[in-house]
Amino acid sequence: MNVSIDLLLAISMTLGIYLLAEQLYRRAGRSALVHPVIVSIFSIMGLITLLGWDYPQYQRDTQMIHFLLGPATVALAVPLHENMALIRKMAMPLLVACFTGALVAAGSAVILSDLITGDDVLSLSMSGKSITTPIAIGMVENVGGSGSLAAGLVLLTGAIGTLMLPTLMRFCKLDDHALYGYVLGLTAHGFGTAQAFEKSATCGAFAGLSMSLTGVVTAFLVPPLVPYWMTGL
Amino acid sequence: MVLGFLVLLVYWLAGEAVSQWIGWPIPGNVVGLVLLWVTLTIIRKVPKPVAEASKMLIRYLTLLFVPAGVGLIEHWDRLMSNGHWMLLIIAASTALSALAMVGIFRLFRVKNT
Repeated sequence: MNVSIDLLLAISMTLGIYLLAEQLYRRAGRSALVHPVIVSIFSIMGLITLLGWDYPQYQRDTQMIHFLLGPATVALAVPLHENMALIRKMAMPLLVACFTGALVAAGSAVILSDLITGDDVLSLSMSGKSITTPIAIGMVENVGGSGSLAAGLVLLTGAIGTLMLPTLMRFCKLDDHALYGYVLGLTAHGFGTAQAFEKSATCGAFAGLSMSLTGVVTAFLVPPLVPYWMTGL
Repeated sequence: MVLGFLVLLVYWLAGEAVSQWIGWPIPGNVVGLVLLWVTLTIIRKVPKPVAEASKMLIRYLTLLFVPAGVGLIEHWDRLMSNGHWMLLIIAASTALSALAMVGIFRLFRVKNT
């Protein structure tokens, strides 16, 4: 078996740094600011710059890890199936809220970014900002944006959402745990879901449900709509 | 475990095939997710191998998108020139979608679920 040293180094480095980042996250009391993904990404960026590697090479060497996103996304069907039972009673309004929230989240981000920055790649990548990263990367690449930029925007959205939503929802007097979790999961995907679980199990389950549902709804509806949200495309 | 992994791969494969066949720009793995979800809804239970494989993958889901995230390094100039706008746009869009949802809850008088 002939495997390049660089490939083994890239994979070991990625796994090693991730495990260390997880330890740090636990020690720091699970603050979203030291989320293992954020810490891992920036540490690896620093290391590959120090080593003088270029990203395309690192990307090729870690293809094996990236590949697993495929089956992992399909696997999201299991929690989605288990959580769907939660909304039996209020299915209709909750589904309407999910479709509306998903379209507003993607549409407003694309339109604002197109108007303010005029950067096409950035605006296209904004379309996946509120959905869970594995779905966002694939969807954004399909519409002509950048998967890596989408991953960054998703992380940013999660961090910003967990910082501002508690205050915003208090202002709206939304204190029902189920509905509160539903909003957190839709707007701030995995970050919001983690925060919702700290409030209560019901809150977390609804957040998990709306996170997966929003990912699916967005991936189906948004790609054909994106061209209409942008000028000059 | 391997059987569960095979099931996930086959659903992904089917999803890719369906997505190419209908020519709608949806990622094949999301179509696979929907196909598996429909299957689970019909059979009304999660077979043990599938439950095990999916639990394992979801446990380390965040690790799996680290390689893609590192690609942000290629967008450094973009972050430097438009970073402040990105923060503002994301904050505005998050507030708008959250308020839209609260509006729907009020409209339909969703109280407790």
